[in-house]
Amino acid sequence: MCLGIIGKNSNRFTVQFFLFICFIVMATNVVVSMKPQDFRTCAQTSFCRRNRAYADKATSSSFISPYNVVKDTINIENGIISGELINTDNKVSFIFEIHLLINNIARIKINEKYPLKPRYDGAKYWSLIQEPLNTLEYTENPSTGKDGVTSLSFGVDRNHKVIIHHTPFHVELLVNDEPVIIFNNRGFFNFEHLRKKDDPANQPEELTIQSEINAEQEEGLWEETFNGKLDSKPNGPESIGLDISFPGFSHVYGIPEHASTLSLKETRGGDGAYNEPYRLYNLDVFEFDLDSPAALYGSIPFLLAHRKGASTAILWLNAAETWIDIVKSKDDKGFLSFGKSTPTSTHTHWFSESGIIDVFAFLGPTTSDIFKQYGLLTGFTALPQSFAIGYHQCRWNYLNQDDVAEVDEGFDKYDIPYDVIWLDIEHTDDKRYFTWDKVKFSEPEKMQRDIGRKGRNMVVIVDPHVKRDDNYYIYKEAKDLDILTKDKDGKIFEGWCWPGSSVWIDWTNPKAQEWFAKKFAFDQYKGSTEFLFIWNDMNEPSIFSGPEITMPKDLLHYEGWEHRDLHNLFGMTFHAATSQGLINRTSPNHRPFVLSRSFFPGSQRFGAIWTGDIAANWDHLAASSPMLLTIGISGLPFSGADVGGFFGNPEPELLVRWYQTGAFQPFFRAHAHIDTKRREPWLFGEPYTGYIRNAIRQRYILLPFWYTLFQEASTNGMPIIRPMFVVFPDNEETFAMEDQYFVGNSLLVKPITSQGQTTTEIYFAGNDLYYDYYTFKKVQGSGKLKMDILMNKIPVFLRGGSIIPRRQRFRRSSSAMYSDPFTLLVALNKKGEAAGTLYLDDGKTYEYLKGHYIHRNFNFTSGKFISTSFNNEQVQDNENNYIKSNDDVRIERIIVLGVDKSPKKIIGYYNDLIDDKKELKFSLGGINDIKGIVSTSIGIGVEEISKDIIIIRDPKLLISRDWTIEFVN
Amino acid sequence: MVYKRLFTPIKSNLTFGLLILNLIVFLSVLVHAGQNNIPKGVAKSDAHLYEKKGSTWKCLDGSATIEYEAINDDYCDCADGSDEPGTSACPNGRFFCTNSGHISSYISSSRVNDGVCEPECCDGSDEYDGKIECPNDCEKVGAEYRRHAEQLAKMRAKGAQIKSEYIEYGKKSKQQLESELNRLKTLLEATKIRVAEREVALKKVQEKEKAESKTKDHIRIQKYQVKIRTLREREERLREQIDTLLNILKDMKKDHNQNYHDMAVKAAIKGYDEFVEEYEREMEENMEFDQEDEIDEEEVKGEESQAPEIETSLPSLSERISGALLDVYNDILETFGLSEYVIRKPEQQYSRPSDGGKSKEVIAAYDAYDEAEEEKRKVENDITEVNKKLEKDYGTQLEFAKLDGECFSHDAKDYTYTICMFDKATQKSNKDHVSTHLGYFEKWIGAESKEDDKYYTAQLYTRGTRCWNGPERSVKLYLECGIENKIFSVAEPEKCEYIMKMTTPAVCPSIEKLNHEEL
Repeated sequence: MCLGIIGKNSNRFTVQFFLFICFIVMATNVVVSMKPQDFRTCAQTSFCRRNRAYADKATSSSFISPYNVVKDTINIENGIISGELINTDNKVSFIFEIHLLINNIARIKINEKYPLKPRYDGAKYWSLIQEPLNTLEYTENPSTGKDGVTSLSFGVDRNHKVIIHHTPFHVELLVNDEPVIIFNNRGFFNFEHLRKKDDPANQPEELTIQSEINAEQEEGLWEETFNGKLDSKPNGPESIGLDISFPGFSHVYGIPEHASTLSLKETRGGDGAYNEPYRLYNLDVFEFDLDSPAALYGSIPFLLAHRKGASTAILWLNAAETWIDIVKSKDDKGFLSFGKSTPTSTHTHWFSESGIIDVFAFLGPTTSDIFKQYGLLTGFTALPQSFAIGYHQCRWNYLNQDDVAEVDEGFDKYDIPYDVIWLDIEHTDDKRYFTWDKVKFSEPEKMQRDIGRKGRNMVVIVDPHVKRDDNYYIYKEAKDLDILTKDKDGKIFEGWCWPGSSVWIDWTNPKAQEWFAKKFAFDQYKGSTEFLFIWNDMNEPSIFSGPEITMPKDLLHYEGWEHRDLHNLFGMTFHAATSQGLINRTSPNHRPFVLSRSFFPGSQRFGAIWTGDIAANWDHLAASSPMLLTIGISGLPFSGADVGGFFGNPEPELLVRWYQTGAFQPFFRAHAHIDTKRREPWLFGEPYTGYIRNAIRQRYILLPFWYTLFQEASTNGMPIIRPMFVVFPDNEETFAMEDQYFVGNSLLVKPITSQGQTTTEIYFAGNDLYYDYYTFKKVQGSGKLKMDILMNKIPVFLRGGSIIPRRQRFRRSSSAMYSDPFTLLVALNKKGEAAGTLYLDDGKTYEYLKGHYIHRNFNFTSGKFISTSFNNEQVQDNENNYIKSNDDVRIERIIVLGVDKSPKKIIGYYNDLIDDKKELKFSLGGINDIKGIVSTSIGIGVEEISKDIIIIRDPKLLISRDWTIEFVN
Repeated sequence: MVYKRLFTPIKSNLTFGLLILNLIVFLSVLVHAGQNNIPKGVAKSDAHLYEKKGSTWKCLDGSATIEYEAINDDYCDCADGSDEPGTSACPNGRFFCTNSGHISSYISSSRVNDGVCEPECCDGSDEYDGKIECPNDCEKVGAEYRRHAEQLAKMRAKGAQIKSEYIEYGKKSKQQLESELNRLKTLLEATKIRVAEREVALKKVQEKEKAESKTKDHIRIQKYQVKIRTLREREERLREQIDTLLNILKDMKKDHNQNYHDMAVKAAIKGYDEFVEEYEREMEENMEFDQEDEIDEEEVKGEESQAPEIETSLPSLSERISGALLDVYNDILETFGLSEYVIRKPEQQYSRPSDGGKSKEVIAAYDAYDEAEEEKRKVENDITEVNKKLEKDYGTQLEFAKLDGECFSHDAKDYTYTICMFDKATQKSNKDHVSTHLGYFEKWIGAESKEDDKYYTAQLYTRGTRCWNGPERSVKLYLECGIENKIFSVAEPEKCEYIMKMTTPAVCPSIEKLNHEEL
């Protein structure tokens, strides 16, 4: 790298000198890139070592799991099957419960019968929206009680079955008599009961089964040291482990956050496999490595298995450090035989450092059923304010309020829309969050109102570390309220972060939640206005002086729980309090916007997340797709990656490609590190500025489509961007595809992720028709097609059969489009049919929960295009506050693609005024028309455009009403 | 507004027909909404383009012919957007604001009815759909604008006057320099002749005294003296470079985040500490040697007759000075495994001069020759200096000559920034008064080409002290017309790349231009 910069004419001395400088620069660069040695491997983690050793032992042929159901302890009542287990090796007793829940969910819980002290069971309070309801739709099967088996059928159709095998204990879940999930199939179930340190009879299970005790391993039982930092482990070994098999499933997905593949890899070595398990432990990892199972900022222990004809998933509800091993087998060696043919099966092994076993099984049977089941349990994505899905401009840091004004003005000058400008940590008075630098941001309210006047908003950062300064009110109040996280001896924990010596509020304390939320009230947060929203960074939490740059595990939280027990949900508790604070500050309440870096199941209820500190290189751009797809199918669809990459300076081509990709990802924000060159979209000159402008405009044109998808996610859990296998569940070719994806079910997107690329291969699944999104040309053929690409756009295709609502007027922000008319883009399939929806509301308040919205169902069949109300919960037009405030919004244009012959005439009418039909003007897709109306309006230059399209000119139909347009031949 | 009144009654009980009817009424109102039947958003001067000459109308770019009623019907028909001057329907249209009482202007049609009152449309005409009320501020804005324009005009006039003085100064100083150059050139010829004459005289004396070898000795000594000078310069350069490197490391030691516990950084800091200790000790030794050598050199001058002593001390001096520093430099390189770039010590290049005695006559001839030679060198230096000044780019009218070497400072709370025009920029901490070099003048960068008026409105200063983990510091200095030479803002939008803004009369319009503008 360094040598490349030395010019040909440099003299020898310059070369020498430069090399020297380079050397120092490279050596010190290490500070900002990930160093694996900062983070523990499985071998450096005693419970990971022990559970892997247990698994290895259990894999031997002579091994039989020591856990059995105690005779005659099984009880079945109100949808709960409970019983007692005993570990026959050490005679420790356990209670297990299997809950048959409504919505085709089953839950398995295992805890010690007589624990020395309570084990942590609190993740459910944070992750579940309520205690799930048991179903009463179940029947005991005749086989129950025979051969040490308990068997029940459940669900309305009794098509689900749970079979509990008593000796050794293992549990099968079946859908339509096919096993889909088996717990303890391989006998890895391992429950380290709490014990006293000096009791020699209480060796951990895996040590008793090993012939020789490894001294080093034993050392890890009661304390562990990593990089010179001691974990005191006062409770000793207390891990839990369980294997979960997915018979017949060769692909499993989920368990974010990792920079890995969409279809998860095996983790116990071999070709193309990792050697380390996937790790879930929220960590601040600089410029993380790609293609790695290493832990990152967030954790969702949700795993989805999919095969042709069936999908199933589990949630391992545990907030302690968790590792997951994955192996696949052709020929199952478990002690069960299931099914006749044995295709590939996937076997997972989960182990957490503490807590109890609490696993939910989602029985599908389709992926969309699973997304809904998961959402009903942990909550659906909160519907964001509409501005939040526009484009966000961020940098560490805009220098001062003049800089903010100039950047804001730059967007108007270059006619590039944007919605939110962000301020990073430097906006504060010496990293005291909730304060402003008095010199650089002397008039924060004026600054926000100036932005707000243009319909835009601002986001500033509030991090979880609190500067230790008695003159800082946040610190003072939190200390006085006694809501700070304590060290193992009960003193206030002090660590090092941006402000220097800092403390951390314990948001797991309800008092802290309540108090912190109040800090966002306008009269508390000086200099805040209704245009100000919040960004929660560093909430893994990141602690520079801590082990693995995070909190020591032996810190103490509310009610005396160790940090170890709840590490992975800590960041979410901060996110939750911030989100609640923003809701509460206005009356009537407005929807919050809070971006978080750390996450856990349930985070979707509090806001968006992003993938953290990535690098400005092509590989990180490519990695953003599988990462966001994975996070999206794990119940957290509002996610994005820093456009342009955080570290380093992207060359213009990379930046353009990143914008083009980011415009088709749910959270669309550009961000840059403080050491990077400025990269606001207009700084690169033409043609780059034009390309970036087009990419951002694409996003804005499609905002109604995106908002409708967000509404869908907020009611049924469907991811916003969808992996190919979700859209084509029966097409095995798509199951591992991650370099192309769908937005909704309608837009096929193929990010371009390498330099100088001029062609790409795109897979067109099935029998569908596809249209180029920009030129409307039909794609000829199917399967993998090679296509030429240009710099001005990435390939995007409209799937035949979709109807997409767009707002094609260029505006400076999303709020400026509030009353703009609609263009409906109708892409007919081979049968000449298409369908779509549109959801609209005020984009700001919770009025929509009372039915004040517009939700349309569009249907085009047999030459008839009908708009009807999506459901009956929508308030009548004349009572509907949203419609009343926006009553003249019409459809200004309808573009119909794939019309095989031109109609003689087209008529339109409101469905309640069937006698008042009007003939509508339309034109066939001549080049002129398209160039003038469509292509200029989407910003793409002169291109030949398909002719089998019809453009209906200004039907003047109101978007809120039921209407019909008929093609008359 | 009319638009709103016609639209609001549309409720679920309204018929489709009524809607269409309303729209037609609305359209005709809209088309004639502007003054004198000019369609909304069209300037009076363009009214003829929208005159009704039948039932159809042709887009201004000829791209289509549409019904006349389709003008401003909120649907885009023309590729150039010309059919929708008064709505936001076309992506590329523009909307005319009359702004009575102020200056008329065009805004992009995307800003029409977008819920934001455009400052460019002080009459509020851009928001007419009733969603937001934009007041007509043109009177106030216009008055303010005129007041401001008046002030600006005054300022520009005053600036122009000062500028003319600058131009006068630039012309004069150029003339002075040119005549000085001519004088020096003449002088140079004269001194050259004198040198030649004296050389001849010297040779004669030498022949006469048969003391050729002494001349040689003398010339050698002179050569050595030149060499010493060169070596000294080289030493100084090396010392500076080492200091830069040490400062980089020092910054790293000071600024790195100790809590990252980065072993590589820690090792580098440890190495740095050890190195500094060694280096400082060596530098002290060197200083002692240097002082000893100074004395040697004095002796050389005084005791030219003792040639053999000179011969032994001179080379050792040069070795001593550059050698010690080279060792340090090479140590650093080797520490970082770059031994191939180690600079070898210079080999001895000079042969020993032969000896001989000398008489007073010869010494006098030498002195005379030396004097002439010295004179010549001085004139040559002066010529170089003058040429340098003449080559500097002081603008098309030499208006910047006056500013050459002038320094201007700006106190920005934490730091004071100083620009010495055409020379360098510095940043001085107001806390500890540590000064950081931000760059030397490199070139004008106001525009790509000199032909562009803007070329002389920005300067670039480069090659400042390198930032830790960043680029060499640099400054872009932007100049605006003002009656004072004054830096009014300093920013660092990217790390170590500074932007300074300064007013100066030198970029004000010239008096001729002002007069021309008035006409």
